Amino acid sequence: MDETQLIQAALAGELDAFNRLVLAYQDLAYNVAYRMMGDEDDASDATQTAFISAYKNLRSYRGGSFKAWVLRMVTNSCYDELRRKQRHPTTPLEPKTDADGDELDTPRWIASDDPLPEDRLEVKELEHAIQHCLEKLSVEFRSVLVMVDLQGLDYEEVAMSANVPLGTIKSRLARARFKLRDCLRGFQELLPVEFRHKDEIKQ
Amino acid sequence: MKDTLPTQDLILISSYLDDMLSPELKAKVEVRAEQDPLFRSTLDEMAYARRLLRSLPIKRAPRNFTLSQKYAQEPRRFVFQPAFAFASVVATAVTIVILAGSLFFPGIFAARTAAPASSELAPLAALNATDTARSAKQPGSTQAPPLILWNGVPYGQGATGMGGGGGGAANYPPIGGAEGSGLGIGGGAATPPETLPQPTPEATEQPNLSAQSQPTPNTDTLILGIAPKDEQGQEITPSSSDKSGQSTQAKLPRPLTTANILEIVFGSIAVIAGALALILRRRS
Repeated sequence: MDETQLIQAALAGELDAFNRLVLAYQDLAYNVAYRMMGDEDDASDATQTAFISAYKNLRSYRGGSFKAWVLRMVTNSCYDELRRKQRHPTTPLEPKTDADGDELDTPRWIASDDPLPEDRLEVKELEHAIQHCLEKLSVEFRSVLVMVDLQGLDYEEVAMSANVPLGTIKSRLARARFKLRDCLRGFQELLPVEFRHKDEIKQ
Repeated sequence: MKDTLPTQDLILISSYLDDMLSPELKAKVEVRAEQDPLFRSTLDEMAYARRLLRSLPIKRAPRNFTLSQKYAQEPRRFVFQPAFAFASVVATAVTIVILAGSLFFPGIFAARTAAPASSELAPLAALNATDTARSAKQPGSTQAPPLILWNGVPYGQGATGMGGGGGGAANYPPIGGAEGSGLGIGGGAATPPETLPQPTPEATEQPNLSAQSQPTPNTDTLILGIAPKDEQGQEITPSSSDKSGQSTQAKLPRPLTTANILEIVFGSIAVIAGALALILRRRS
């Protein structure tokens, strides 16, 4: 069965057909959720909520890219979860400051408890740095950046997913990349050599 | 010197990196990148950020997100919740409209003033009816009928039975006096009751006419107040400019208008329906 047939079967109430669609898109959905939320557990919750919402609102699917439609559910689920976290912020158990009230020298993106090989550690640090910069962006910019640059969606799919005009997507993407560039400048010396900007290496 | 490009240039660079430009625009971007150092550096840095993002590993989903029948089934819905929410909103809107109406268009809403309770005005109505009947017997009488205060009670209502007591020397033993002196409880001499002054049914004697020419006291004291001792028993006629009916009504509790009643009703509906909608929403 191809995707269209699976969608038709799911619309007819076949849960198995819908679950096959879930299996096809769950990695994509989870990755977008993870980059949006910055936390694995939150990403899992958001992804599950998105698929439940997709199943219940399947009749609102009017054709076009099913991938973009699913990603809309994922981003909406992430927005809801981020808003909920803003309303009810949680306090981490470990202090962010020392006894004198000064910020600790070791931020989260540097710390790694896993005894990983050096190359894995470098990639991890890069990932933490990018994730840190992503979280500094607004959710609208972040979602566009994640869908285009991390998941490789084209502009039309992202526009459909975000339910905004194509021009808005282009503008958001350009400004998001520019802001990300600014943020990553601060991490140049901490990034692995192969990921540093060439001008930095020359210096 | 500006160190950032305008948004249009950023969009141009971003689209160039994604190969979303026409060949002509693409050529223009390349030419400008060779001529403009700021444009060139921005292009390089955005390309670098994009490359970093794309170098991130794709994560596998930690588990399957397939749905079970439990997740797929329809949740229990409280069908009345939207109805209560809607009713609350409508009632609130109506209450606001009525409040605004009574505030900005008092004439429209005040015209629908409800009549006061009949029990409150019954004594006054009876008094007016009696006075009107008296006035009708006086030919040419055009003024408002006179009111008589007797210990703060309108004449003809509370005065009935006054003047009793006294006498009874045969029934009560004498107190502090000689036996058979005629004094008893209740005071007064043992005079025959025929000598007591009787209230006349017709208020047509001369004192009434003279009382009309006297300055009129404050009519606010006519019904509820107690007149000074020197004015008790006098007949008081309200002047024509004094709207005794209105001043009498002003002493009564302010009656509820239709607008007040509607405000209370719709306000209550808004609060109750809103509370029910909130409770049902939390339970769903």
